[in-house]
Amino acid sequence: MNAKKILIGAFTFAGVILAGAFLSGSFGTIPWMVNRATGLVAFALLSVVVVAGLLMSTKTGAKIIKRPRVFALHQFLSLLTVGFIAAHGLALLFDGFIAMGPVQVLVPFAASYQRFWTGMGVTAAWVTAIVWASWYIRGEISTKRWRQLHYLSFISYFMALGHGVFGGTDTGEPLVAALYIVSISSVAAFVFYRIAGAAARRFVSVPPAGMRSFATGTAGAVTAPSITVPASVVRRSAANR
Amino acid sequence: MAAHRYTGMKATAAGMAIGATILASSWFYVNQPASAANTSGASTGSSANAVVASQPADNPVVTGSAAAATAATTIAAKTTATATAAAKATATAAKATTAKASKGS
Repeated sequence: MNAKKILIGAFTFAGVILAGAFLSGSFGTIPWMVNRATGLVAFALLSVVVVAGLLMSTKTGAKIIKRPRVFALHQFLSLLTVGFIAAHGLALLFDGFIAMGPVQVLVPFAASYQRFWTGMGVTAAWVTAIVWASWYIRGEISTKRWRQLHYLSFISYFMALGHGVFGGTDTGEPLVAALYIVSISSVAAFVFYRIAGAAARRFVSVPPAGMRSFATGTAGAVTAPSITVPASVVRRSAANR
Repeated sequence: MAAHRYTGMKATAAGMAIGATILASSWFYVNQPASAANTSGASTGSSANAVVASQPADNPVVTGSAAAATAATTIAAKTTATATAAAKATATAAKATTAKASKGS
C-alpha cells in the first residue's frame, strides 16, 4: 500500500462522514469546528514542510535523519498540506456561521468576513498549491526557474501565518499560540542559518600573494596572516592560472 | 522518486495529521460555549465573551441572534409599558369604584 492509497482512503473516509452529516441534515457547528481544526493542522504541516526544505538546503542534521528520508517527508507532507488546505476551504462551504460560497472560498479577497486576512489565507493556499504542483513540472522548466518558484513557499508560509494569527479565532488558546511561536521560531532560525551560511560561503580566507607558511625551530608552525576575499575572486584567479 | 519508499513514515504522518484534526475538532466541539448555538445576544464586541472567542464576531448567526435579542428586549419593554398602563388603569378604576362607594354610603 503506498502513500497515495493511504491518502485516498483517508479522504474517502472523511468524505463518507461529511456525506452522512449532509444527508442527515445535522451539520450544526461541526463544519466550523472542522474548518478551525483543518486550518491549524494545515499550518502545522506547512511549517514542517518549510523546515524540512530548510533542513535539506542547509544540510543540517544529515547524520540524524538521512537526506532521502527528509526529501520524501518534504514532498509527501506538501501533498498532505494541500489536502488539508482543500478540506479547510471545503468545510467553509457547509458552514452556517460564515456563509461562504465557492467564489468566496476560491477567490482571494472576495469574502466579506475579515476580508484582508481571509484573502491572505486564500492567496497562501493558491501559492502553496502552485509550489506543490511545481514538483510535477520540474522536468519542463529549468532548475533555476524551479528553485525561484520554490522560494514562493516562504511567501505562502508568512501569508498563512498572518491568516492564522490575525484572522483565526483561536490565537488566544495556549496550545495554538504555542504552535505559532514554535513554528515561527524554527523557520526564522533556519532561514537565518541559511542566509548566514550562504554569506560565509561567499568569502574565503587565503594567504596574501607571495607569502607562504614557514616553520620556526621550537615554537611550532607559524602561518602567514591570511586575508578574506570573495570566493568569486579566488575562482576567477584559479581559472586564469 | 521516493513515491513508494518510506510508506510507514508517510502513513504515520498522514495518521497523525488526521488524528490531530479529529482531536482538535472534538476539543473545539466539547469546549464550545453552551450559548454558541444562536442564543447569545450579547456577543458583539466583548473579547471576553466566550462566544466571540469561538465564533467570528461578525458572523450572521451571532448578528442574527443579536437582532433577535434586541427584538426580544423591545417586546419586553413594550410588554412592561402595557402592563404599567394596565396597572394604572386598574388603579384608576379602583379609585373610581372607591369614590363611588364612598359617595353612595
